[in-house]
Amino acid sequence: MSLWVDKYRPKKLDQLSYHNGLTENLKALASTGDFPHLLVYGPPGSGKKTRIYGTLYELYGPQVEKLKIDVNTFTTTSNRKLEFNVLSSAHHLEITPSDMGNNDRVVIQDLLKDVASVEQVDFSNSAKSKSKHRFKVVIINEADSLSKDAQAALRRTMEKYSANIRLILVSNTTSGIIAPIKSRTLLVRVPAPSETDIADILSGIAKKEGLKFKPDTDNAKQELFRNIALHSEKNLRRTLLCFETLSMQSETINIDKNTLSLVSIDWEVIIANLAKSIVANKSVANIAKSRVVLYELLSHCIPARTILKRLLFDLISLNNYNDNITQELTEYAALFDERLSLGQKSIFHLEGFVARAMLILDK
Amino acid sequence: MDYNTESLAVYNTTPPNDILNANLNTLNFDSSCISTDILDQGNIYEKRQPKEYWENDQEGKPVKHFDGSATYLRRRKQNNDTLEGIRDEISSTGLIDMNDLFKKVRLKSAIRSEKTRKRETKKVGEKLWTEKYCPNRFMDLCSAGNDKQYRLVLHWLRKWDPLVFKKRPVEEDVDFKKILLICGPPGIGKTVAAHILAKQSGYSVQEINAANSMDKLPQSDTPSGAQGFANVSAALRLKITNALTTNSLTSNNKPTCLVIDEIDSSANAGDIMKVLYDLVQLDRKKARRTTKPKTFGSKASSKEQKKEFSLNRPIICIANDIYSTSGSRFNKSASLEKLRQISEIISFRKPHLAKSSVNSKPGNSVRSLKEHLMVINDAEKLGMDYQEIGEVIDVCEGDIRACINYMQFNGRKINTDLIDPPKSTNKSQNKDKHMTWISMVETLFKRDPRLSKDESFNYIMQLISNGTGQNAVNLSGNLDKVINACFGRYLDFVHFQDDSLYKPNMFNDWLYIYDLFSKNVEIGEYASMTVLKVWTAFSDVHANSIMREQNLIPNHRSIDFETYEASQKNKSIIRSFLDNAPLSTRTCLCGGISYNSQIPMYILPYMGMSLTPVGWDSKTPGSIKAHEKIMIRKIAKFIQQSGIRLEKSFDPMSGRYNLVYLPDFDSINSFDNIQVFSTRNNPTSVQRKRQSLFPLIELELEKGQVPKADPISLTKTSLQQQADEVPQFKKRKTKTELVNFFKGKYDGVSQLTKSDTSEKSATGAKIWIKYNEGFSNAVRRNIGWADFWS
Repeated sequence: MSLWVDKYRPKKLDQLSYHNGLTENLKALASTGDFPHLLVYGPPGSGKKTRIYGTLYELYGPQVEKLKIDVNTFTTTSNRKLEFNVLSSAHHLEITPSDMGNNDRVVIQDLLKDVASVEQVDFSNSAKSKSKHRFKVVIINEADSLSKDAQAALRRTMEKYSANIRLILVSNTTSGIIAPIKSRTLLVRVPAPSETDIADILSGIAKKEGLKFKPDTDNAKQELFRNIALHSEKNLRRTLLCFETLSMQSETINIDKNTLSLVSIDWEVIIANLAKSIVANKSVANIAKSRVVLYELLSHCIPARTILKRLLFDLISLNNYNDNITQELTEYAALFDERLSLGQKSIFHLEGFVARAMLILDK
Repeated sequence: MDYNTESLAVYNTTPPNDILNANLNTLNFDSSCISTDILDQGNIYEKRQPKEYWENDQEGKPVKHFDGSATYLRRRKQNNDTLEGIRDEISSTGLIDMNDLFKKVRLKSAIRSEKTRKRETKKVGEKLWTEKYCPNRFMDLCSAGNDKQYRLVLHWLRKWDPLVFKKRPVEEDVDFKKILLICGPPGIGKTVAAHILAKQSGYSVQEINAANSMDKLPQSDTPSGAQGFANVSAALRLKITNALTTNSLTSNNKPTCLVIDEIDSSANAGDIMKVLYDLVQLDRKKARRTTKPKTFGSKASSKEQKKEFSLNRPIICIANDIYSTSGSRFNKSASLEKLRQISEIISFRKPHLAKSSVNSKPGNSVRSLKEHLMVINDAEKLGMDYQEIGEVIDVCEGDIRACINYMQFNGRKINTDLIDPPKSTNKSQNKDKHMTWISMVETLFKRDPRLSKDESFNYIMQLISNGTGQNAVNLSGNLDKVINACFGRYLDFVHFQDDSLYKPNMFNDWLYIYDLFSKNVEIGEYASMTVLKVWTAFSDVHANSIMREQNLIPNHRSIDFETYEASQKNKSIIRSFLDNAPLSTRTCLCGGISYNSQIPMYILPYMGMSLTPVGWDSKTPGSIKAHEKIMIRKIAKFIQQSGIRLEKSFDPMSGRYNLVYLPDFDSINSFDNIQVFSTRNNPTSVQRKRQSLFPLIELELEKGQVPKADPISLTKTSLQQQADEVPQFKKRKTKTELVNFFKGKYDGVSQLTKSDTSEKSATGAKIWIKYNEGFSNAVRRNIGWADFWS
């Protein structure tokens, strides 16, 4: 038995439970036997990869589930050896550019040429109609973190080798992807599931796992599921983990106000406390204190932009969604978010936002 | 050549030029003669001959140099003893002018002392102080806050005693980790400590490091380069095993302790680690076999018996950064991950520079370092005081080696100062010509009350653009340090001055400019303008007192680096967690298969909560309910699948045993330094839960063990571990056999001899004779006493 995230992951397009229109489109796409390059984007935990694998299953059958990890070595021009993981099946392979650092351009060019120069021959089921898929699928994760160079290198490759290769780019936003790539791909947006969608999934799982709830009424349960969904920012992956953790804590899940505090994550609590202290005490000494907190968060591998975003939302809610303050805070949060992505010293910019927020709230 | 008479002659005789010339020429001649000696031994007599012939020739002798130019050599005028000159004077006047004679003698002795002084100073300069003052005894070691670590190293070495010296057979001590991994920043005495502590414990040290040319191993210099390279792993293995099993004649019959230095930056680090790993595995195998002779003794053939190897000499590895997984400068496929698992890790630290609170004295660590440097200071008569040494330590950031180098470098300058009659008391002369970044920061925050604002701004401007401060701000590394230090301190100044929120905001925009500009090469030089802003915004007349008294961020100097280090460490933990997890879990947990920020953010925290649920504080195996059993089974199953191990780890800082999951993601989930309201991840409560939880999980794991193909190693107790690894070990046995079969004859032979020695190595270690070690004509053979006496 494994984690619920793994256990209840749909394998086929038919098993998907929400965004039905999108699923229909993908099914139609797969049934034609050919499809254009795809750019699938959406927030984390909305089911991008699940849909991609569902489509691949539709195309190639169960063979795509036989996955293996290869460690590819690549020698760069400066004679340095580079290693990166490639997840592959007989019909597709999957790479993550963040493995490759600055050399992603060379690696991607090389890898794609390698794959594309070999035509797929499928002996196993040549009689069936599926044999006409003479192309391999390459999935590129975190496509928005590809360097501009690498993206520029992709655009020509995409056209040149389109006979043998199909690319599926996966990313959270399209903002990091250059326009020529966008124009060469079919953009597929996978939005986050709605609260009702998540609640449906959770109640299905609860039934299958035989979970017990304290006030065992449907209303209370629905309320809890919705709260979990909101608590985990409608990230389905997080929702499932959170729900499983909750179920591990005790035999019956008591539905009351404190239920969710059982599964609150420490760093989120810390940021909430930080926001409170910013509102309460606007002084230079408090900037120094919050700097220590920010350092601690960074050392725990929490991305700086996540800290910024979370802090902004906490601040806004602490000020009761006052229009003026919200507007100003968001404006500056956007500014510092830009600085974070342009610069390297994230602590400067995080502290900058804290200082700025104090100034705004002080007025 | 007799310097004395020469110089006196120069003093006496009026035209000294030709003598000097002659001297010069003879020197030339000599040197050319020597060089020909070296180059061509056959011709040496031919060259010598003319020399004799030339003694009769007054005219001089043309000598050709290697560059084709010719010089005429004239015979040096024979300078008879000085007394001759005096005798001349006697003969001419019949009387000796005593004053004159005294003068001459005084002069002579003065010149002699001058010469000897010069020679001495030259000799001192030849040796680096870092070598000269390298500690040789335990008492000489400068602890610099690492006393605890030293004791741990000694403790670890002590564990070897029963194995190496056969002191007392202690059963439970046999199962310790056989490799020690010392890590820490450069220049804090890791290597020295390893050497001295090993010596202290009665070992002779053999060192392998990145420098002593791993590729020039005795077995690897085959004619074709490729073949030699392929063999390097085997050769390395031979070298290490030889070092471990043999006693060299020079080591006074002391057992060897192998020290592998710079293991992280060595060119063939991967190979070394592989060899070490194999050795440890072989050793474990052997240990298991001896403890369980019933099950395996019968199966093992005599051939296998010979091949088995037990590790009975300590190995100490030294590395700077044991988490350098992403370095990839060399072949880092193995990284240190593998080694970390099989070795005991002791991390050395830099002395803490940051003063913990306002009024506290510098910590013991810094004081001991200061005293250590003071000893050198006294021995070299540098005349520095404690404060100056403190400055040196600050500049070098606690790096002892750098401190000593710095002192040596500046020590010379001080020497020249002492000779100059008007001894300058100005301390700034002792410093480097360029400003160090620390003094730069100090200058930036200072404002001179005597100058007007414009004047002092111009002064700073000059300093940065083309004065001595140029170095401090224009080298990107230094500028970064300066900016970081300013960033660390500026809040203190604002707090002191007007405590307004405007200044931090304004300065932050400048920091952004710095951050943006320093990345760009073309406009990089403008990045230093931020430094000017520091001065205009924050400089204060009371800078010194602010620096001393205000301290909003106690560890502002080190916090940036500490954060960086901690995040690197956490990332490597996440990677190792991912590597262990099964593929399906990996794909659904994080979208891709590689590192993803989702993991530290959500996945590991939830995992930590699931694996140590609430309400387990006081549970005994008897009092668990049905659903809790199910829960434990679930946890156990998950642990089994994702390759997590349960382990009891010793925390040297608190001196307690902690129960942890391995890979240890506690450090990612728990925020020790910040008070969180939820006591969820409070270490003590987590430990309490685990106390009752772990035995249950283990029980469950053992139950589920049997049908599973690949077992999980439980290293909690040695017995369980053995039980677990039995099937694994079976597989490995056949593998190593195959590998051994394909290795060259060299290995085969050495393996046989090696295993022989290993069985009785502690008492009857073999004697090897070494000749020309490391060269192609090396001789290395086994000798006995008969060879000595025949």
